[in-house]
Formats: sequence, structure tokens, C-alpha cells
Amino acid sequence: MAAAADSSGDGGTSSGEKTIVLVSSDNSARFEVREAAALLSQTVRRMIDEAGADASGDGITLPDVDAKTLAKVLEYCNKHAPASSSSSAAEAAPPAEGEEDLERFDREFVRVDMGTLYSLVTAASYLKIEGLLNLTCQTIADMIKGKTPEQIRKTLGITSEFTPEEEDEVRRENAWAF
Amino acid sequence: MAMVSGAKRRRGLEGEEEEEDEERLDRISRLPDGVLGDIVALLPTNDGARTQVLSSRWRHIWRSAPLNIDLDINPDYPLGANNVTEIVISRILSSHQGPCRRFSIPEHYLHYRGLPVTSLDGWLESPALDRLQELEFHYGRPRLSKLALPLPPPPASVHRFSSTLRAVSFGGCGFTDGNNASGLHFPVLNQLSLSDVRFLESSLRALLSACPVLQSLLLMGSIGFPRVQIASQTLRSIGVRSSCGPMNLQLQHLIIEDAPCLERLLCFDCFCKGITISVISAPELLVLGPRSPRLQFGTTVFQGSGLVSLKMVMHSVKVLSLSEERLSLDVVIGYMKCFPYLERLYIQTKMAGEKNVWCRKYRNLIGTLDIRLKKIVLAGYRGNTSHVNFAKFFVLNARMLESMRLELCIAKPSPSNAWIDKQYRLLQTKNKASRDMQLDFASDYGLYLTYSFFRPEQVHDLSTADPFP
Repeated sequence: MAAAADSSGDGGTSSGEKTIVLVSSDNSARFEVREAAALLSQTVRRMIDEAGADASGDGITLPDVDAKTLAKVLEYCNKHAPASSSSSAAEAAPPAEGEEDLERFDREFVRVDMGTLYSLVTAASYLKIEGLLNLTCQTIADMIKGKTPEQIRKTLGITSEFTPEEEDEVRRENAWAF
Repeated sequence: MAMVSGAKRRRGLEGEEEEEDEERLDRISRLPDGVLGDIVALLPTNDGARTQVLSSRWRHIWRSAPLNIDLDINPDYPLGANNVTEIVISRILSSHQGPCRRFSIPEHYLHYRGLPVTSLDGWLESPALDRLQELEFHYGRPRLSKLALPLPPPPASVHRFSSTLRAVSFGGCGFTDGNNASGLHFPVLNQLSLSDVRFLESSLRALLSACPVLQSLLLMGSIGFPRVQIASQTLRSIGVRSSCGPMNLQLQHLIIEDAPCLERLLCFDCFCKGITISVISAPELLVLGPRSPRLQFGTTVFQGSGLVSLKMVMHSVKVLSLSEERLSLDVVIGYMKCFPYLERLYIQTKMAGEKNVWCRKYRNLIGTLDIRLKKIVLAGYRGNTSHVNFAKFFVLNARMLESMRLELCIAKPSPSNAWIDKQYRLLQTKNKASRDMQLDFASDYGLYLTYSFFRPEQVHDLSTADPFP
């Protein structure tokens, strides 16, 4: 098995492609992923840049992402990562034949319970993964569209500390919307 | 608050952990402001404004998130924009803190409210709209009695957004100064829609030159002169749709002179009118359709949907959509000869169709024609002899076919299992040419190719190479 050509200490797959190790917040799980997948996160990208020559084989710890969420996030990244790990290819669009496949994947990916969905949107925001953030925000927005505030509160689990007077005031100010 | 959590438990929402774990209540409100703002910014105006009442945490989110003034009345959402009066728009604009990304007024709004077109200028002057990225408006179509009169010019304040507009849709206005004398210039504009606008011939070309990074262009309705010639180094998608109106103002001939980046060319023609399309140079054309009475690729000509002359073959075309009242295999084979690398075929049909008998007629052809089709969707399938013969041709001869979806004619009631089984037998799926082929029946239409169901996203949304489902 050929070792990776660079000397940063990160692991390599048997094909020699560079991989990165990401560690969950509680240190309970380590994930070795293709560099191209990990770099979908702007936060990871920045951490690697900052670590620079000091990068050790210990991997990058993500203090705000627990193991279960990180696993799911990486499922998304692995599916959406470009084939090549060069940084210019990371911005290139995936091939046309894969698009329907990706759309189907995305639709299934967000069929989760609300707790998981919130963990995903939080993680996507922290890790700055644009595609995942858009996907999760749109999913939540779709749950809000066309519903009354009472229905939205029930669906999203929002508690309102408004007094009846305060709520009336907001409704009056925006009467046209109700 | 206790009532809310009790109600949640009774209703049994998804996610067992969430019901039991008190800590997880209202997790969404613990997301950072920026993320909540991202979510709210995706909502139409009414829904967005209503989020203010969800809780005190949410109250200021809408006000500070990027604003969408989107009054498009969507029948799916019953809490529509009926109450958004002009006073309300002015109030939103004056009280909103966040940048406004999108301002969209539907076609009939100004007309039904009896507002003069100058109201739009008033709103567009609002500081809340600084750095606007998307503008969509329509002054309304002039009544027949007033057709001879010139259309009002686009709002003067549109110049304010020159440097930030990425998408604009002009509706019902006239560009009456030749050569873009009003000096419109849109350096970052990607999407341009012109709906029922009136041009002098020189104005359109000048306007396109003023959009150096334009990617998609949609022409709907009257233009003012019968021929439009497009030469653009950047355009990736062009769509045309005719509309009712006097013939002398309608676009009749669209000529693609030189479009090296053009991937998508869509024409949604009204059945009675017709737009001739001539493609002189578009080497990257990928997606084509669905309807035009006369289509030319150099010296190859399709007239009335039949292949009249085949001289030039287009290797780049991979996706073809067709709106054919009578389903005809001859017509489709004509297209396949012109587009030998065709991979996806979407057809919408309406009536009973031609006989489509093919065994003897195309016996020789089958040996020589390499059918590379991978996906076929046929909407309006009736399961009658004509349609069965058509579909059977591909079942038995398309060696690379991966999926065929037959969307049943709306007039038919939901099919019984017996009917479907019979269809599989008639289509001889046991002898299918492609081992992996999947054949599905759908009782709802997913494919809408007719003039009335056309959507601008089919032209403007370039995020996927294939705009059809």
C-alpha cells in the first residue's frame, strides 16, 4: 500500500488519496474521510490552514459537533464531494448524471426527526458547509410556509413567552400578514 | 409553557427523544440569529412577517434578516398576499432594517389596485432596497383598445440597482429609445426575463450587450418586431413563449446566430401561433424543446414536427422534450436521427395518436440506429394501440434504456392492477432490449410541457443540467 506523498502526517487511502481525520466533540469517535469531502467545510479548511506544518496525525477535533451528528454530516459530505481532491475541483459542479441521484439523496437525507434536523442545521452552520446549510434551512422553511403561528410552534417545538398583550401588539403592528 | 409541552406529548410528534427530553424543547430557537435569519429569508413575505409572533426570540429576526418582498400569490398557500396593500409595502420598506434581496410584484397587482405605474418608482427609491439583487414586476398587459399606445418606460430608479441586480424581470413596459439610449447597464446580471415588453429592433441587441455576464434569457409575449437575432458569448439558456396578441407584434422568428455557451433552448408555443427557430451556431446545445412549428439546425429542417431535411446532425443534444398532440413514432425517430446522442426523451401528448406501426417500416433502421436513450417519460399515456406501439418500439430496441415512465392520461380513472399487468404484457417487457430497464406507471402528471404550465425556472434554474423531472 503506497503511503501518501505529503509529509503532513495525515493518513492515505490505498489509492494514495489524501485523507483527514475528524474527531467528534466528546472525543468518542474518529472519522477518516477523503480530503475532498472534509474540505466542503469552510471551518475545517480554515483549521487546516491554521494548523499548517504543525498538523499531527491526531486529527482535527470539532468541539461543537457530537459523534452522531458528525457521522451524519460526513455522510452528506462524502456523497457531495467532488471526485478529485484538488482545491480547484472542489468548486466544480458534480457531473450531470449524478444530479438526480444527489437530489434523491438530499430528499431522503432530511427525512429525520426534528432533533436530528436541528443538530444538522447547527452543525452545518458551525462547520460552514454551504450545501448542507441551504438544504436544512430550506427544509425548515418549507415546514413554516403557509402555516399559522400556532401550527408552526407545534411543529418546531417553539415555546412562546409572550404575554397575551405582547402578542396582540405584534399582531396589530403586522395586521396585514395575518 | 407547560401546556405546550403537554400538547406535544399527547400529539406524539416524530422523535421519541424529543418528547421526553425537556432540554430539547425549543431547540430551534437556540440556533444563532444568522441561521434563523437564513431560514426566514427563504419565506415569502407574509410567512416571514408572521414569524415575528412566534416568540420574543423570533420577533426581531424577520426585521433584521434579508428581506423578501415577494407578493406572488401562490394558490398552494391559502394565507396569501391578498392583504398586502400599497400602504403596507411602504411601511415594510420604511421599517425594515435588513438588506432587501428580492422585490417581486406579480402581474396584476398594480392594475387591480388601480395604482399608477409610478408607484413602483416610489417603492424602488426606498433605502431598504439598496443593493437589491432580484427585481420582478409587471405593469400589466395593455387592453386591446389601447394596444396602439406606447407602453410606459421601465422605472427610472432601476438604475439604482445596476451594480447589484442579478435577476430582473421587466413586464409590460416599453424600451422605446433605440440603442439603449437610457443607458441601462447590468454588470452582474445573470437572469433576464422580458414579459410583454415592447422594443425597437435596435434596443434589444443593445440591452443584451449591456449585460456582459448574462446566463439566461426568457422572452414572453410581444416584442414589437418579428425577428430576434441572438449572438451572445455568455448565454447558457434561452426560453421563448408566445402569448395572445396581434400577430404583427409577436415574435415569429428566433435566430441563434452565435451562442457558443448555449446549453438550453426552450420554446413554449401557443398552439395556434408559431415561432420559427433557426440555430446557426450553438455547438454546446444540450436541452431542446418542447414545441415549435419550424425548427432549423443549419440545413436540417423540422417542419410541423416532421423531419423535412436532414443534412446536419447535432451531437451535443442529449435532452429533448416534445409536446405532440398526436403521438407519432415517425416524428420522434426523425428527431433521433438528428440527435444521435440523445439520452433523455420527455414527451407530452394529448390525443389518441398515430398508428405507430413500426415492425416492417423500421426493420432496417433498427439495425443501424444506435439508440442511446437512457430515460423516457411519456405523459398522457392511454394504453391504446397507438401508444402501446410507440412505447413498445423503445422497450424492444433501446438497449441502453434505464427507465421508462408512463404518466397516465388525466381523463382516465386510476388504473386497476389487471390493466397494468395487461400493459406489461402488451409492451412485451419480457423481451426488453435493456436488461436493467425499469418500467413505471404514474397516475399523476409530473411532467408539464404545455404552454399553460410553463415555469420560468425551466429556463433560469441552471443548477441542474436537465430541467425536467
